[in-house]
Amino acid sequence: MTEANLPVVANIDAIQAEFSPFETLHEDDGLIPTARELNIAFVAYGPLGHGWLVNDFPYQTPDDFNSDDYRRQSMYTASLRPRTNR
Amino acid sequence: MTQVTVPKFQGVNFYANKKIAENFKALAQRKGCSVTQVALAWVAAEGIIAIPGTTRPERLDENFSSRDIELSKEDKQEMRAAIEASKPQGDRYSKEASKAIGN
Repeated sequence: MTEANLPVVANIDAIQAEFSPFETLHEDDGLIPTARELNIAFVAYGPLGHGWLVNDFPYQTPDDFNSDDYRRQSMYTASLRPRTNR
Repeated sequence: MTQVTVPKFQGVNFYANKKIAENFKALAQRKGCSVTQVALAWVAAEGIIAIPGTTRPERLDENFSSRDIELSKEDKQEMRAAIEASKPQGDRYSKEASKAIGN
């Protein structure tokens, strides 16, 4: 995405999307690089991997989540392409 | 680029995330802070503003004081390597995992 593609009627100060050590998709799909390029703040929800990055994470297997825990249903959008070196 | 959705916290991803979490736990121990604090410090070090949700005042304090944690270049490289190694993406999928998601 380039600046030319962005709407000219609105000034974008910040965008919000998921980012955490478990969810780095937006580094690869252009969202974070574009935000940096255009000096737009990137605000991240889910920075702790939905309550995972804590001292007392008690689950040892995926089956340990309660049956109604949304982490049983959460989906990951994976980009299937060769990994690029940073 | 093909995008697919796979369960984020189930199957192989559960264990991939667990491995990443172990690395953050080790870093937290070295820094003398909580896993949560070092994870928030990592997000901040990427130039990103984190919004950690909490319902408890003491967690809010804990989250806020992650601002005092400084990650060295080596710390960041180490965490990045751990994340890359466990990333369920592209050629990083095991054959079994690729089959499971229809590739």
